Amino acid sequence: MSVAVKHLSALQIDRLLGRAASGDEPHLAHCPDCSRMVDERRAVAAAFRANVLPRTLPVIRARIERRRRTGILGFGAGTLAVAAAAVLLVPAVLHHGPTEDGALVAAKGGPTLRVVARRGESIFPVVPGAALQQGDRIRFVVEPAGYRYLLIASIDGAGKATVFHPWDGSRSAPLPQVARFEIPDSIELDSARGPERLFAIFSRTPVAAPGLKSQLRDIGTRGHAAIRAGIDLADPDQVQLSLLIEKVSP
Amino acid sequence: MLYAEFGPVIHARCRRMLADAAQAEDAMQETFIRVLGHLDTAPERRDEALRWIYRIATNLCLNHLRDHKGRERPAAELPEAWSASDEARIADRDLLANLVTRIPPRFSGPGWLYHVDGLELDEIAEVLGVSRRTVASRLAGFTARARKLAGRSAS
Repeated sequence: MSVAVKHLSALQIDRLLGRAASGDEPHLAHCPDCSRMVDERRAVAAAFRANVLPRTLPVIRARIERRRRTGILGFGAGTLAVAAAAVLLVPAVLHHGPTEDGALVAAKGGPTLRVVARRGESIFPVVPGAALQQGDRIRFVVEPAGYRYLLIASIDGAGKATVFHPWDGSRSAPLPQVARFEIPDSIELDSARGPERLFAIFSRTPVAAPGLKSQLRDIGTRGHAAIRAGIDLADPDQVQLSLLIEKVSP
Repeated sequence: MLYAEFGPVIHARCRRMLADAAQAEDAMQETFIRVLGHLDTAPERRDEALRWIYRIATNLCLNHLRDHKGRERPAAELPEAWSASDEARIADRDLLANLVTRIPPRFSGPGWLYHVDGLELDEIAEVLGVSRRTVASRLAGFTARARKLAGRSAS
């Protein structure tokens, strides 16, 4: 007697995207149809991140801004202000210039990130493209500008994604609502050579770290050029500040 | 992060439902605009967030199919008489797109999720935020209306 094969549903397959393990792997091991479909969806997802996401993110931000101006329904007052502020503050810019004192900023009045390094007795600001070494210790100083949560992570030349703040955390840490805040504890850099890109995500609600780390590892798999080029991972209601450093031999 | 994480899934879903690339991308963008407009109600767990966004995208695409029912597009004809094999044909996207324009949303939504997406009743209940019993009832309502439409087209 033959038994009809029960395949994974569309939702189960979509759940598998971006996940290391989901419990459906035993089925995939024995079902070439579902396995093929998962592979196809993963390829489509990769194409989305490479092509569709960069093109459509500014469009979504612009549409949010238009709705705010015309008062179209669908936005609560608080979220509307957040979305609009994000559109005004982050016009799909991947590269931000430093302020006069070296802080990274996406737009005037928005949150800022300053990275300071210590090498022995020497203390110096870390500018984009700065050459740092194993053993250098870096600290972060931020101006929250009203954003309530912060997640800082990096992807290095070895493809390793690390959450710096909160250290090895699973989600964004609350930010004190002060003008300027120095994040406690410094980070000692490891021996991985090549480019390393830091991502600081300022948000109104906590951001889950596993999702960000997965996206960073995707960048890492595309090589050093992709790490150096950077990418905007922030939702329209968030602000991303990103800094590239180059890890070199002492 | 929501857009980067779930954008690929929702984009692919809209493509499967709407077939037209431009319409699917528009629906996908509209989905995330609505998501961002209701962040205060967004679930925190990934699985729950995915189901929530799935629901928004599904409803948007179904509304789009109904809004465009007067326009020319490839669509399978309704069967003249309903048979067991037609149940299988429902899984055909074009046939279901035809039915969606003629059946109220509270029945066509579960119908699509079940017959095209292959979701189980429990999964449909999770996506729509209703009870399993409600899903079963609405699926029965969908089938009854589809049979009636088939009978009407034959006469």
